[in-house]
Amino acid sequence: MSGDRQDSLRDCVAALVDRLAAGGKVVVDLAPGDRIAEAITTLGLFHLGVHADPCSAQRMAEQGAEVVTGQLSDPATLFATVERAVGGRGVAALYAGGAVDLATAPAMAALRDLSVRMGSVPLVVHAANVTRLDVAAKLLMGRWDPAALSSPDGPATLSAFFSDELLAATMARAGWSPVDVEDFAPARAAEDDRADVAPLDRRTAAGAHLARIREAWAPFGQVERFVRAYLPTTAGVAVAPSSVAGNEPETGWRPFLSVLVRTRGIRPETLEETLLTLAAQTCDDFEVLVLVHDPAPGAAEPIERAIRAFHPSFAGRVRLVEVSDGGRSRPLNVGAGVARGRYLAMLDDDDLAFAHWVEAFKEAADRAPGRVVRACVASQQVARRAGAWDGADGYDVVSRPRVDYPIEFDHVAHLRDNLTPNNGYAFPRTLVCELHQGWDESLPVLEDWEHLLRAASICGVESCPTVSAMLRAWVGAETSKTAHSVEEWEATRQRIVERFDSAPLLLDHGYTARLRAHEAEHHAAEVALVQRTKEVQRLTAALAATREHLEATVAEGKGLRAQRDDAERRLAAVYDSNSWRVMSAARRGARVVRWCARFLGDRPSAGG
Amino acid sequence: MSDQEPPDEPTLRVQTVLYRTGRAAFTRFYRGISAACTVALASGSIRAAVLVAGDSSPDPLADGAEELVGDDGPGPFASVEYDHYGANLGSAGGHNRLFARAEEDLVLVCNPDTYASPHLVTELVAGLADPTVGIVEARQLPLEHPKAHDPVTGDTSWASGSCFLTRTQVVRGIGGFDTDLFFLHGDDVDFSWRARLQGWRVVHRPSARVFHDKRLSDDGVILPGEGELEHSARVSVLLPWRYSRRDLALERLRSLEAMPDDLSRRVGMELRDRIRAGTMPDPIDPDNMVAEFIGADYADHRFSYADA
Repeated sequence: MSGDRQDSLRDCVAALVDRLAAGGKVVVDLAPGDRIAEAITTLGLFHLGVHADPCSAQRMAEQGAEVVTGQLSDPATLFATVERAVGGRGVAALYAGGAVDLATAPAMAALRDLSVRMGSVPLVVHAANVTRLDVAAKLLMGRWDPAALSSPDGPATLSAFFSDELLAATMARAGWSPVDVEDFAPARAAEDDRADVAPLDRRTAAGAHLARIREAWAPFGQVERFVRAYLPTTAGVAVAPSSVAGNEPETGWRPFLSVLVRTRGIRPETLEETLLTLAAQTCDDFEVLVLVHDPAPGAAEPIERAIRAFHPSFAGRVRLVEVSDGGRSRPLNVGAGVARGRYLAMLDDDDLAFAHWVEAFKEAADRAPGRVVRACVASQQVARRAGAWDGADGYDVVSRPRVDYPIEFDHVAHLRDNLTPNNGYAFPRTLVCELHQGWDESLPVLEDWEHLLRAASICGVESCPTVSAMLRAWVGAETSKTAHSVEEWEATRQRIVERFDSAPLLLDHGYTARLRAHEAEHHAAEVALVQRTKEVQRLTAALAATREHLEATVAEGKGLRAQRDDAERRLAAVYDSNSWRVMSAARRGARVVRWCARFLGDRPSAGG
Repeated sequence: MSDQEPPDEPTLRVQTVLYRTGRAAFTRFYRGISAACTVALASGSIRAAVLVAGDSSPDPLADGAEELVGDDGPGPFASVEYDHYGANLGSAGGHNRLFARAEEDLVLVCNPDTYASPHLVTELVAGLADPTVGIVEARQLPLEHPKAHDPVTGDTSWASGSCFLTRTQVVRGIGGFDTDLFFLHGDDVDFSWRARLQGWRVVHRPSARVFHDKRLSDDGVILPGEGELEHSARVSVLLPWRYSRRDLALERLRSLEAMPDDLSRRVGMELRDRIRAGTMPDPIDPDNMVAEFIGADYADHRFSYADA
């Protein structure tokens, strides 16, 4: 397909013909009403119109067009007529436009006959895409306007509605094989159309969500008309109509669950344990796909032997699938493609399932069909140990199991962090196989978190409130946690958050009350914080006042101390002065005199 | 202890005791052990195998062995026997009834809520290659028993009765489980310790894997089976009494009597009456050669399921 966006349907047809045809040849136009003649001749090709009505043909001829009369119902005569008109120039392509009823076998057979007679020249057609987004939006609003599906710049004739798959199946059934594509996808729908679907315009929250889902689920959401070129197949016309569903595996057995067990084939002992826990399930309505990712040469063979050693009632439900290339998500996407179950669940090759793992998922899925079903997972620390007495390299369990993941699913809490290991949920297989909601292979880590968030938003989640699987946390061994840097984990987390943040988020029923409760809690915490802040401010002010008073008191004390020191200094100066020392004898004499005076004064007088 | 080498390619008796076991549950068990015996026979690990099931349920699960195994047929087993006891003999009594007819070299004791890994039997039999080993215990999944074992020798204090392999010679030597004292809990501890008193080693073999249908509560605690709490309380006194730790037995009895719940007090009264009546077991292992009482456990544990 050309990378350039074409402005009109004619441009698309011209671009397609240009790629298919050599200059100087003739394009035989069986839909002259589409008025592609000018576009064709601009390419250096000849345009030969074929009219069923002789009068119309005559009129066109009078206007200078090269035109013949003929009908598809008589391809032999038509071929002869066209052959005469073409002469030695050669036919580049047949153009049947959108006016030919592609679902009508005789017309298609006649076109094929004509093409083969002309040397198997390509056929160019266009068809209305009924799966485009604006049509879906109108249908959601209860509107149905078939005229909107007719060719925008061609005649308002419409014979059938197509999806990409239906068109491919119809053409294949008629004996045509696709060779090129130049679909017409206008940049924006007409203003009138946008007005028609205003509430669902992709700039509105609902419209953006709808567009995101439509574009994620299947391509061609923006394609207005499929513009395709075909060549007649050598096999001829298919007798039996084929299914257009495309993804359904050819098998009669459809278990409830397909368990995708991801392994690299380097942990055979724990893989056998994983399989053992699956063999022991109380519900056996499941199959197992052991997805061996990039195995070393010969690594898959012992795994196959290990599987076949189980009882046939289990081994017969296990398939080994080798997966090449890609990251951690690749095996899961490949496994989903070949799975037969209605639901998909995952186990890594060191995970353990409790006996009711499948049963719990099935009960929840029966209770709430179509929803993601989520169980609780315990985790237990294990440490590698080499050289055990039994000769096998093994591990030791070094801690009790912990149930750190919440029993009930909370979407909002999961936006903060992944609270569900990949062995803790199962989801409808159609999510991957029909809605293309597989694991993102571009994510180095956290692919399960991103996938669960997406799946939860589309399907909703039904919780199975039971611990039904065990995750092993390896101590001192390389795991995905240690194999990637902290920076890579954080960058991936940020990338996922930004991805979800760029679009509306659809939450399940019950989240209004939950969010209100969260918000009320948050609000109460904020109020409490404000009160505490005020209290802190009051106490801070009181503390400042006290400190000020204290400082004043200290300053006053300092002043008094300075006065005292000054007095002491002055007193010391007096004591140290020469005059004080000189006068010391006099002071002693004076003291003696005072003493004597007191002594004498105290004695009774002799004369009494 | 035997001074004879185990015979090459021994014969195996697989025995299980049912109690209210459903048809689907038995089929699961049967298919797991069938595959394990198929692998063991193919590898030459054993020469032949028989399966015997005793049923302590009020109503029989099947009219006979043929109906019990259904479309699966006898599979790798030379014979399958089914015996409805008509009374609840408990695990210990049920197994003893089955032991009585054992003619094979080895006996695999396993619960019907287990599912054998394909190499279970092969690995357990390999564990008996050492003539000093009398009992080999399997590794249980998904909840491994926290009991410690020597990483070099595999030696462990006792083997869980949910799945162990022993020599018929060991069973005969110690007279099977003690049904006077034990019903369905603690019988395996006592069985192991009496075997060790006779000189046999008890080993844990991690490569012999068996699934045991145990489940966890929301807070990560193993959910007890029916009657397990009551029997566990009783055994907590009986075992130390038997293994010459009367002090510990009486201390535990007093704890039981002081517990607020009816079950503990009822068991306490029953044991107190038994002491008064002089019907408690005669003490053995006076020098505490084999018995281990560490906290509430009967071995050193690597971790505890009871820790919150």
